[in-house]
Amino acid sequence: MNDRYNNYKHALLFTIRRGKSGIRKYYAGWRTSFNFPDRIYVTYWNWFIAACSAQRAWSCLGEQVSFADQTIAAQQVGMKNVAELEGLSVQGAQLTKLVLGLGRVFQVLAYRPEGHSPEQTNSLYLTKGFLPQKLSPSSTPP
Amino acid sequence: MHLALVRSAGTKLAGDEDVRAYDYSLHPIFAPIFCLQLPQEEKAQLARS
Repeated sequence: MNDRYNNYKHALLFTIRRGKSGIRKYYAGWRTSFNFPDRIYVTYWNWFIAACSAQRAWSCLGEQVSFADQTIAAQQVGMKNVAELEGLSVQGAQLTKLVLGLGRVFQVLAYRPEGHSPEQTNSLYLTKGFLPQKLSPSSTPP
Repeated sequence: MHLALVRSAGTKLAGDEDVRAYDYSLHPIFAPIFCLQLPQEEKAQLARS
């Protein structure tokens, strides 16, 4: 028990608000804002404008945006992108369902650290045979 | 994939016969919605049941 606490005390911090409303984890700061692999500047400015809107005042441009407002703005930007997925391509609706489904699975794993390491699972890999035979890379084209 | 998933080179292979080439994760822009961690830590297996 002591080893688990010493190894995972940072990750366990985000699980102590179970069942309570409010922000469980903050997404704020320059390192978080610039952690996106692509479209970095557009994402950041969307984020920033949404953060200012969350404070309901454009006069905040000269002031520091609070961590809570930055987190709320980040969630708004994420939800906006989920909504925009549907119109991006023919498979947009399926992509939306994929993102919401995978996100929910990872969210439950993050909320409940029992039975696995509290480090958050946020990636996956496909096993052989997961894809239908006609979509498998090894299948020969007709 | 329209910023839905991010593909990266596979890591943490389980054995010599393990040939999985890619890992997939949600784009980091969706992390605040689901309270996920931004850097990759652990990964799950997605298998057909």
